[in-house]
Amino acid sequence: MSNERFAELLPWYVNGSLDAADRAWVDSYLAEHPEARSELAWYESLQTRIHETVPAVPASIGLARAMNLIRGDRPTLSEVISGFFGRFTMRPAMALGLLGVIVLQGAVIVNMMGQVKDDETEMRALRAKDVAEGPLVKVNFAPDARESDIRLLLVSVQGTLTGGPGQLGDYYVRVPAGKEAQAAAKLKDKTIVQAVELAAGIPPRD
Amino acid sequence: MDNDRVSKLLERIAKQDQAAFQELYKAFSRKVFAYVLNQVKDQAKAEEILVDTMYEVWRNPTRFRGESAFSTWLIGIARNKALLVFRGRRPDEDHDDIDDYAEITPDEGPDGYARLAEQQRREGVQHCMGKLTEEHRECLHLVFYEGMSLAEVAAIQRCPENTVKTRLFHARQKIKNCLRLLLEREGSAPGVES
Repeated sequence: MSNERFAELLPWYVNGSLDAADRAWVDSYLAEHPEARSELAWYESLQTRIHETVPAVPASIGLARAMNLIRGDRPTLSEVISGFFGRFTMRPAMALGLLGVIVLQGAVIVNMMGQVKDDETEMRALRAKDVAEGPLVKVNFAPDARESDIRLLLVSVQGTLTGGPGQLGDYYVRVPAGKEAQAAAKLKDKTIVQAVELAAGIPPRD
Repeated sequence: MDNDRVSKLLERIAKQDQAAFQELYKAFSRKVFAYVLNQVKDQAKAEEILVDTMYEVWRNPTRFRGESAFSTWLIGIARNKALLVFRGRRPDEDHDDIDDYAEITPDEGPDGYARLAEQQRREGVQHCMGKLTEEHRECLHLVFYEGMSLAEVAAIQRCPENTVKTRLFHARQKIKNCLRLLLEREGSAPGVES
């Protein structure tokens, strides 16, 4: 039993971390059992050799790299924010000041929103211009017709979009006088056009 | 360097004092490097982990609360980083035959110990340490190089104290048998007629 305890305590005796009572116990064990000194010698030798296995390096090993890291170090945004608000938890007066700034900024923003009210007109749809002269052609485009193709087609017949689309998808295009039949024929030929007919006028709004 | 001095340096580091960081770095770099090198066995990697560990201190100096020796705390950080290196390595890469050594009946008589102590050399110990498992090697390093107490080793290795005792016992057996075999091959082992 005492031999087991000796074996258990010996490494800590050798490395110097044993408390005074256990140290005294090991000392007395060694005095009573001189043959156990050889095990102590082995541990001491092992400790010496382990120290020798570690290469001698300067204390500044890697320091230049560490300093480079530090000098290039910048706190992250979250660190800045948490650090900033962290201070307020310690200084209520500053937190109150910050609240004041936020309220003031809010008031300025609301005021600015009121000032730009007139600019909302820019967001409204442009009112279609009536083209006074020229016959009208009613056109129905295919559902998959692209807006850019429709525009090109209207340019090719010198047409101007005057009305539509209605509930049935009718568009009214005013074309130059005397060219309505030619324009209608050209429109019919296009795959994006489903139907074309001459119209007497734009129907009134519902 | 005692914990009081360390705490003062950490307070300065919290205020981005680079000189304080350099002083702390130089005071602990060798210890951390020795520990990491013992674990990863690669000087370049060990240096990299050392730098990473100390940079962690620079970024979070207030995390150390003085509940342990600063070097123990620092080695705990380095250990986590070294473990990441281990994860990228084959588990039994280095200690494939060490378990065989534990089966050999050791010559534990007083003469055997004394002669082994006389004859074991740095190269032999280095070789046999390299053949141990990471846990056993770490245990021997923390005890015999760092001089840590049983409680400190248990804290670093995150295991009960009894586990540390068991690890130390097996590490001792294995390294002793490994050294004996090494000396036998050289024809001068204790108890072996040369």
